[in-house]
Amino acid sequence: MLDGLEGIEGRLAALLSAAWDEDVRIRNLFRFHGGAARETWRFCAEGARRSEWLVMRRDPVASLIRTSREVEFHALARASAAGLPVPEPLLLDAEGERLGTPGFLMRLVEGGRAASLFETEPYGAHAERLGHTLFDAIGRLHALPVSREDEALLPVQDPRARLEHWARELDAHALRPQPIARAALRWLRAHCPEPSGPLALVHGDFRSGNFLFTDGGRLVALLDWEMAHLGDPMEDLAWAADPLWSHGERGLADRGRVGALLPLDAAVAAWEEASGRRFDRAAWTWWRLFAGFQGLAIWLTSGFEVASLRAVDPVLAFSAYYPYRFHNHQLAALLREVSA
Amino acid sequence: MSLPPADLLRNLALAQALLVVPALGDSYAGKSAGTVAAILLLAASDVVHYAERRSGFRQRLEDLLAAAAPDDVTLRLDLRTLLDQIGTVPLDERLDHLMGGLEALHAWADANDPELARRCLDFLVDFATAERLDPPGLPG
Repeated sequence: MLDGLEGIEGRLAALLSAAWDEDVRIRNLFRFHGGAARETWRFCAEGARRSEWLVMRRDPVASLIRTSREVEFHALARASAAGLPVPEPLLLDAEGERLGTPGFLMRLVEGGRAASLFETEPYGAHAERLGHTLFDAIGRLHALPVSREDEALLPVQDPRARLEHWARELDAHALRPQPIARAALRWLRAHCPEPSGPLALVHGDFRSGNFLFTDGGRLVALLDWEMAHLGDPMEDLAWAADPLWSHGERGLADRGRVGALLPLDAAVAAWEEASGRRFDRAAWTWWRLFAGFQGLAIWLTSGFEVASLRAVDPVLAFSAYYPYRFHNHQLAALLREVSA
Repeated sequence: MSLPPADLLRNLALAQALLVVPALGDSYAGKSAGTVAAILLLAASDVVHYAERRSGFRQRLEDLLAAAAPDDVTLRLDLRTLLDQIGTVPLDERLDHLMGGLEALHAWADANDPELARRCLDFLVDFATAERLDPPGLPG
């Protein structure tokens, strides 16, 4: 059981007083939904010399996926230093000694909102422009040279290792037979492509709903970096293009706009220009199937947490219901397509 | 008069969406209440045909497994045992019980019997298509 409001205020005040070397008071502590996997709180920290609106992300008792706050903090720091629109990370507590569970503080991003799953046309007349900005941003991330620190702190997963990562999640969390996920895994293992290029910093959950935008179509911030790793950037493109995140537009036939933003070819062109990399068209079907398999593994993990009564967040129950059945259907249809 | 489960769930969803969500606003609790409303709406549609649909697929799967004759003694025996046990399995667990057999049969067929693999996949496509949920929407 994690601490209540007063306990969190006390932890934050102690942490920031030490960091700022003055007495810091916490006010307007407010939990908001910053993704299903983590507790996210915003608050104002007030000292005699400065006052700032900040956000704390920390591990809950149970979560959608087990990830490291150190990884998320590092990926955010890399993206921030590269000038990408992300919340600026400030203080890491990797062991949870100060925050109660592992977590970190970052600067609050002002303005903007995230699209919700069932919203139609969330980006309106600005969709195309916003889409170009978004795929330019992810291309710039993929263009960053991999550093020694990246290699030390981030999981290193080429396509096969990434597939086996999700296969382990499936094994660990499938409470019932999963004949579609198992069939997809067999196909994916048998047809695994070579990496599309050198390892890159991959966001890992790049999709509509994981970035903030303004009503005027400005990209405010890329969010939810907890699944960042060193891997193949094709993964980010396939996950973004997955029909689940298309707001009802993109069908199983790979047509329709990516994330209700812009056509795949236009998204790829923006990404290629910014990343300096080439889209691996030959491996695209594999990556589409991989995206659905990854989705299933995540939703099964979510269902496991709910069924074992380790989680109370309704988003976890929802994930095990609608997205699970969506991806089960999508994978079955894709398996038929590749076996025809 | 007792409300049918679908109506009950839909009314609860409406109460969440129209009373609870606006009161809680853009907070974590407000977002959670919105998610609960979405789950209730999905379940309201799902519950109407759930038992009938699953019963139909259970029968079709039983037929598929009974008709399969994999050229593998152990698998054939396992399937026979699985089918013999079906009457002892609680009603709401029977489809999952049979899905375990399908998982094993499909894996074998993928490697050894393309025609049987096609039949397994046909079943899975039909099942997953029928199970897919429509996005929830509040009644107008």
